[in-house]
Amino acid sequence: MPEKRYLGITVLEAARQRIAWTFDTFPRIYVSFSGGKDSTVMLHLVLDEAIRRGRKVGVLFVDLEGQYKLTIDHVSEMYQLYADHIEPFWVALPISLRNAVSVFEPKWTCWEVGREADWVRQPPEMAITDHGFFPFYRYWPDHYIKAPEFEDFVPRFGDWYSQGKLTACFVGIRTAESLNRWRTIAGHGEKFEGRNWCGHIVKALWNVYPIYDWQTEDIWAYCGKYHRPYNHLYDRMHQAGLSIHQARICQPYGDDQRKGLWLFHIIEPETWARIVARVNGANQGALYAQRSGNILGRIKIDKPEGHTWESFANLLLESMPQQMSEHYKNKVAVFINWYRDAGYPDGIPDEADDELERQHQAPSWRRICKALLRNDYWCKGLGFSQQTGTAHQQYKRLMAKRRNEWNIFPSSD
Amino acid sequence: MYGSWHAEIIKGNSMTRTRGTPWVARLLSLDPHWGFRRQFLRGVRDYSCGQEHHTRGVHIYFALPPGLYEFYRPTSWRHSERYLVRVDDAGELHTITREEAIACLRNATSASLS
Repeated sequence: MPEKRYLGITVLEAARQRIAWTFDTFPRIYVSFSGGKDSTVMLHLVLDEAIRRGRKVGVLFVDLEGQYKLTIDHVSEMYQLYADHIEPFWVALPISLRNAVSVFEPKWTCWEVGREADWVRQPPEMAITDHGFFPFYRYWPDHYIKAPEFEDFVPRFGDWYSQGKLTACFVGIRTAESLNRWRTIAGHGEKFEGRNWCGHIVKALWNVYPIYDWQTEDIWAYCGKYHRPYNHLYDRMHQAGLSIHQARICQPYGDDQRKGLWLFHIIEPETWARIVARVNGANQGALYAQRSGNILGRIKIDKPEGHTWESFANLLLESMPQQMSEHYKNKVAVFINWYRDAGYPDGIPDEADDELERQHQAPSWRRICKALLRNDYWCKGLGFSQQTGTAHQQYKRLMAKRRNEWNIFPSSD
Repeated sequence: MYGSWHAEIIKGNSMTRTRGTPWVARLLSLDPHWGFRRQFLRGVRDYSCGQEHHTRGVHIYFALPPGLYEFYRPTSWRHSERYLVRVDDAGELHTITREEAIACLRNATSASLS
């Protein structure tokens, strides 16, 4: 594992140096902006450099419809503040998003055609709403062409923006946020001339992470010391009792973000009412998140009387909608088959030691039940990681074949 | 600023010999034996447009600091092309002749000697 090495300069100075190098190196530059604290600070730093050099940079904001009004106000404020120095791309197109709070609607589409009356709000005037604006964008619900996933849309935008030239996309993620973020930066993959904070995405597009080594405290110290505008949603979160590390914003029904769903109706009750009508399961998600502190999460679970964990897991799988049931059966089949070759040739036990299960050291049907009850879509609790959209389609075809070979939940397809 | 160049990797089948993988070499100076002293660059492969078995559609991308370069790419199973390019300070690519490349390198050498 790489060690943390101090450079003898502040993180602010280091970020400015990285940004200056990026301006020296890349002919095309844009910023991926979400309205959160990290991307706001990064936008300020990048625009400082752009203004100094008299260069315009693109700013991409993907509007996911069900967002806090305060975030939208902040994004508008930033676009106005830097209007003379940016190429704005406020995208309000239908995009398929994860809904982690419902097994009946595991994905939902923001700005969905045909459901205009239910939209949480109307897109702003400056937003790109024309489906033909981007040549790479395909969404024809009448011809069963679904909206692209967020993870597919963003690199395609970058490729389109690059016009074949070497292009840098500034991304405001920090290694201190999560292990996943750390892995994105420090993990394998092509790096630009050995710089870990500059990774290859597609074609001539590279992601640059100039504030990767910042702590949360650094972000707020910068905003306070330099009096830069920030998203006032964080003030509300602070008033609601969240620490600076807990206060995070994103589309709130994602797998990791759903634990913050309970905040929505406290902070913006007027938006919340429309969210409940729009996104299946949002209200139930908020209720559970409030009671357990983590929706359907790290709670002690019990099985119904007369059931083993195995029979309970099968009952849960059979009671789900077909699409979700197949999805989970694929994951469970891989989990069981992996342990067949790792010391459990006759199948995994019904339950194992509590502590070992918690540390993901021992397999059991109880762990499977917990993943199902949490609606842990990517089964991170069973050791899986998230897959990309296109890879997932190939994976589903492959798994249907493998389940028949292994004789675990034989597939009917 | 850096320039960017890419070329497709054309794979053949078991019956076909192909023209190899595209490459880029930076021209460092003149060499009495080889013509140019060159430094070969490492590119990144992009599979986003690749066909199922990656026989076509896989491209190799190079980031190029300002300078002189020699490019090689196969254009089909049987044919290939090789040419010289200058990357200017704005990252733009300009095709140049061998004589122009030699003159540039000779000037650079004499400038560094003086």
